Amino acid sequence: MRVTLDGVTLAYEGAPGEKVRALDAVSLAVEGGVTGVMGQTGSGKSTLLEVMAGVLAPDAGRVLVDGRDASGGAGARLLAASVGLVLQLPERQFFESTVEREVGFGLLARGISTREVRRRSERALALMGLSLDELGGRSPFSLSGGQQRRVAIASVLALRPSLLLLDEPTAGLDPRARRACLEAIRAAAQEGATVVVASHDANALAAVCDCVVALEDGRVTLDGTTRELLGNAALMREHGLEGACAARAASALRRAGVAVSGAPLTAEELAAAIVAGRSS
Amino acid sequence: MGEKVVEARGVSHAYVRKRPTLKDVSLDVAPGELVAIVGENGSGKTTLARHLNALIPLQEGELRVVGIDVRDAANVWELRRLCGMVFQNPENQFVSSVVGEDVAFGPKNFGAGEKDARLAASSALAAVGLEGLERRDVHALSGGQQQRVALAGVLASGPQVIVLDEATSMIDPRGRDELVRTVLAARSERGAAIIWITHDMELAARADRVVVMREGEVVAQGAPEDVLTDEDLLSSAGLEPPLVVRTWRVLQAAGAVLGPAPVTVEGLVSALCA
Amino acid sequence: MRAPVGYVWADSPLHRMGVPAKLLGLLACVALVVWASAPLELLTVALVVALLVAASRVGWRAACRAAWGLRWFLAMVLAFNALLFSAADPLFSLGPLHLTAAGVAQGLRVVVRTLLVVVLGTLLTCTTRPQELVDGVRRLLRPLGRLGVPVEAAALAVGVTVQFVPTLLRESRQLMRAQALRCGDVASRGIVRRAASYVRLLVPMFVSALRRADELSLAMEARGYRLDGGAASVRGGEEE
Repeated sequence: MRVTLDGVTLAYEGAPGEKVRALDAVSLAVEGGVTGVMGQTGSGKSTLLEVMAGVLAPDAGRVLVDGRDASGGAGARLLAASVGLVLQLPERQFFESTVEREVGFGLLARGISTREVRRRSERALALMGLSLDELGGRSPFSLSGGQQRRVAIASVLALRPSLLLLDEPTAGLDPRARRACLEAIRAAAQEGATVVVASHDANALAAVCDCVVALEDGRVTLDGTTRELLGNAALMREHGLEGACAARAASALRRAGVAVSGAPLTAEELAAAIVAGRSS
Repeated sequence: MGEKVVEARGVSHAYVRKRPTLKDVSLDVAPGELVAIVGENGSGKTTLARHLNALIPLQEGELRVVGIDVRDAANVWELRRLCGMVFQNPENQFVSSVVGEDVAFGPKNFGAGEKDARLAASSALAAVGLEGLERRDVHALSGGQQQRVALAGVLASGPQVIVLDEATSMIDPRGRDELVRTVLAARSERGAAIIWITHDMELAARADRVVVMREGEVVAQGAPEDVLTDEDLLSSAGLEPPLVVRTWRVLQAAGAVLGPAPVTVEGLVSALCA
Repeated sequence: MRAPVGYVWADSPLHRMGVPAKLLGLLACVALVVWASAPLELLTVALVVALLVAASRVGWRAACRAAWGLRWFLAMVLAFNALLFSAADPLFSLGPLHLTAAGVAQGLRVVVRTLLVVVLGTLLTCTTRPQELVDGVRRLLRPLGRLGVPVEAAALAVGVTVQFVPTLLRESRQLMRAQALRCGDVASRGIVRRAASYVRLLVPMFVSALRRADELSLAMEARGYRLDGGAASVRGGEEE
């Protein structure tokens, strides 16, 4: 699914009668793959996701879904039927008594048969490394923090959204849950969904994203491939952000006079860059 | 001062009708030491932290913090004054929306008069780099600033131990760096011991000592260079080594480097420059 | 920078008024609302409230925002009263449901009273900063301190509550949007669906409020807070 934002501006009420711009003339397009959104707290990341999801209407500008205006009519219906939004700390939305009902809720509300609901829930939970047979009958509130997060994400994955939006999906997760979460994001993209992930976690974004945009005070300040941005620690630092850990190490090595080639994103790439730097 | 600020011996704990969350935990912390506690969710880190502040009754074992037995009800407030905590969610630890009033909350509870509490609050705010923000609304601050206000609230009571329970997991990288810098400064200026519970292995690599927890037990503790380079140990605890260590392993396998793996970027730089 | 939620920057007699007096005034108005039951009485009180709104210079929109948010709930209240209040002289009956004039009158009375109280409460938050409110409660209760009323604890409780309100409000709005998306019906209206969505909202909001309260109480205890001056109260604690 192709989503295009065209000059989107959105403001909210701020101090003494003035309006604060959460988004300021944001234009960008996403289609397929995983797009990362970076930026400090308050830069507009969450607002951007909610605008893309069609739950917040922009004050100015347009959101286009597959070329159709999403502000009403067929465009809005198309968006509502095909978007999945995972908020920050999504486990705080739980309201059902069992994991099975929680994951199946959205599907049942759409009138899908119980058998199909079970099949899809099973698959969504498996994507997150969990088993419906094992956890289905348990209360979602009784699970560990990492399991809760994964169940919450599975409940959105089960809807098979063609546009999947996630806000800080890995915040507070331990390494194991974090890995499962990142794998599921990749899997969703491989199945054809257009995925947008907003996060502070440069390493998580480096692991899953094809391209990245950076927001600063509601404006898009950087827009490029993951390697161009997260692989360039100096550039990210200039914008008050953080590059991938490997890129930061590469940049520290260069400052100390060690030749390191390229823009590494992982430990393997950093090692290869160090070896390549030595031989050159 | 050879005395330990934390002395735990055989501490065990179980919540009602649940498997034990702490099993026979023994841990010493020296004055001014920076100790990182790492482990998966549910490994007992938070339960241990809450014991240090006497927020959970001690069921089994011995635990003395700053020389005070946590079972000694008469001294529990002195213990809490000397051992402060910063929690994960900045929004849920403020009692007043006015910065200065919130920071003065601790000193007032510990018996300071209105004026002394305000003075303590001002100097603590200066120590975390937020001087002059006494009248500001805490909700108007960034996450990193909020955590520093929380830290100031702890510093204002003059603690000898500061426990940070995943205090950086909900703030952005800039806020995290600010907080880390401020905590390290508080440690070197005041000599307070720091116990940092975290998932961030790059942060753990900067500690004096790393304690690894798994299913309520301390499975390893030692210098970061020893603990964070032990892949088998870490993976059995559901963790993975810092990126620098993983990079070093790849270089080692390629025969490009020799010697023990560094754990921090600074360590990597000096190892490769040597 | 985020403004204190609900506060409207303006200069009016209500903004300048002392908070203890304002709180007493609010109590008096609420008492009037409770007392009024005849249509004429309710109309008079409504007029008083309208005059207060005009005097506050916060604008009708701001003053009625919270009341407008309750429209579906109030519609339900009206329907329940109209259909279930009484079985005598029904204008219309369907099974156990009886539409009666008395029921409609009772429903309207409840709705109007609720609306008036909500508008009065909104006026208070529109014209008073949270911290002024806390100080106001403290000053208002101070004389009672001599009678053994824990004034500081009460002021603290008010302060903690008002500072959680903006967070909870923001959370509830976001939750509502996300839940609607999960059902795939952002645009859907209709009273039954609305009612169901409130239930889906209540559980997480309740859990969240409890979690916040629990975390805050833990943080307060860690910072040496004690209600009484003496005995150690160590909490039971809970899962990490």
